[in-house]
Amino acid sequence: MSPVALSLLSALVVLIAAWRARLSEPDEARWVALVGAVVALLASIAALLWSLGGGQSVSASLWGLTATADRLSYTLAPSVSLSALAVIMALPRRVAHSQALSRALTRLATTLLGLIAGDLLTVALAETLSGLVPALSVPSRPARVALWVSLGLMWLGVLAAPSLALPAPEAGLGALPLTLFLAAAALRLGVPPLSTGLLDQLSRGLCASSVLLAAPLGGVVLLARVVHPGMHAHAEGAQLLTTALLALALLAALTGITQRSLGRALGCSLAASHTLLMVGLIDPRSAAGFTGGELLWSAMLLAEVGLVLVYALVEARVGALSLHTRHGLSDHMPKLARAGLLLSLSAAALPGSLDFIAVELLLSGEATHSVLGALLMSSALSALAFGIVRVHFRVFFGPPSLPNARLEGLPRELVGLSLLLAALLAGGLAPSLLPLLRAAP
Amino acid sequence: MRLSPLIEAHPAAPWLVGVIGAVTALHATTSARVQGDVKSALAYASVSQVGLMWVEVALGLHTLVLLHMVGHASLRTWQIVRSPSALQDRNRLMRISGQDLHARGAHREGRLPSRWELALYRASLDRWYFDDALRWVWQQVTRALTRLDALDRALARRLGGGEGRP
Repeated sequence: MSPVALSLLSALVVLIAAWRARLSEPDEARWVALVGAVVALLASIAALLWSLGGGQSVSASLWGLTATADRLSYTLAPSVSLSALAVIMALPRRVAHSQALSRALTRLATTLLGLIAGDLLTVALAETLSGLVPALSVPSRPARVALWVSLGLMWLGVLAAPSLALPAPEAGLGALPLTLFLAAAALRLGVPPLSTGLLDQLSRGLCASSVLLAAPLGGVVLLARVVHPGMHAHAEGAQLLTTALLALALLAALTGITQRSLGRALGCSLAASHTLLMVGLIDPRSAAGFTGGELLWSAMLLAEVGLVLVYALVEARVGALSLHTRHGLSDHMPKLARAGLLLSLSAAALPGSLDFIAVELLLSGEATHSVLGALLMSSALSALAFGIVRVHFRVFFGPPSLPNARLEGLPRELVGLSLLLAALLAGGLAPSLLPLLRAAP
Repeated sequence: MRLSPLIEAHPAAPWLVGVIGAVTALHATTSARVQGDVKSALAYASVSQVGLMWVEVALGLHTLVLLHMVGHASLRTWQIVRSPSALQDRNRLMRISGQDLHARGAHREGRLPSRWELALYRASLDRWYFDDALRWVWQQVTRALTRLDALDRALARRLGGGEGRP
């Protein structure tokens, strides 16, 4: 079976599981969702193995819509599936109701469809389906407004685009559709100063919607498939935009360090990471930078989702936490603390993790073109790492705050987090297994 | 070193790197010499070596930087590992001999006029006021960032959000 058919079939199975989970009781819904996510993971691993065995890009056409499986989908599909599987396994019972699990599966299916989208219309349809799920369910009104405006801007871009085919690098894309697509993606990802929705949602607490919103699922396919090839005709604009985005990433990372609310500090760190991701994915000047951006997406799906899950589990046990003082929770939940530390270090680009390779490529790509860009990027990465590790220290280090309380993670939660950690370390220690790097120039 | 092609492409960049390295080396060397505990002294000594490496990068001496880095890493690791037992050995020697083991050797600072020597000692002891300066800069940055964050919260409230925790 071709990888395209496999992806379509697994997306269909996941959608059916999402519909079934929605109609089930919470405990049964978790099992149904688990089956759907495992099917997606197995299908994506099969496509990855097919690619490692020498398989190339495959295209297929269905009802006028084009689907293409290539190195991006082979690398990203396992990360997307694994992050969804970890969310389903580790989401705290208090917030893991049937609808939340169903939404996690729907976003997985729509992202899998987006990864194999082979033309502009298919990309826009997949992005819309992926955006509708949070737009209809996220409690924060600013976040919903941002999602609806983003979808509107994207469809305006589709209408303004010269054709419905994906832009070729040599042909580029007009300035108007490119600007609309960039604004749509920035709003979806929560790139500052358009991060109001993301920050507002995370300030409300780390519920299921916050975990789903934290995962960079929307807008990224649009950047990688449409904006990046379109930027080749606007190299000077890309240079200016990259520098501005790097300055904004630094600002967001520094703002995260000054926060006293756990959710908002995490939100600022996510906004900074998503900005760096956007920098990598729009970079038309270096192949290394673009590959770094693609890998960073994969790494962020694993590390950031894991990180937000850890803090969601902590909040489910001890309530809302302020970063004003140290809480010393590692004595009460040592395994969760260890998982949190490893995920924090990985998100801070620990050598040996997938994030490190992504950041290294991103920095190499920027350093070959601009001293200012390299300085801004390294400063933003340092501030981001400091902010992430600071949050971990404030939550888990210090004198124990709850006498004799044992609040360790449940086995299913720890297994979910361990899967993410194993994938991050496997990608970092054996990068030759990643089709993105094998095919890199 | 990774940025060296870019640094060499800009006429002002090697000067900037060199001056930052030299100032760092000078600051860290003088601060290291007045530290009261071995860990701080070793930390400042490491910083001064990194400053020298920056000067070498600015001069384009890449092989020397590599040798310096490897040599310094080996020596400093040994010093850090050895320092607790070295202190223990010194205390034991003092106990056995029954007298204080004074540091030997001459200090070049002693050649300075006593007023200058005292001022240098005071500045080094206060780490050239870099900590205070950095604290002041960070306070200003934090104030500006807090204002920006307040603007974002205000926008969230206008959009119907902002009901979350403070």
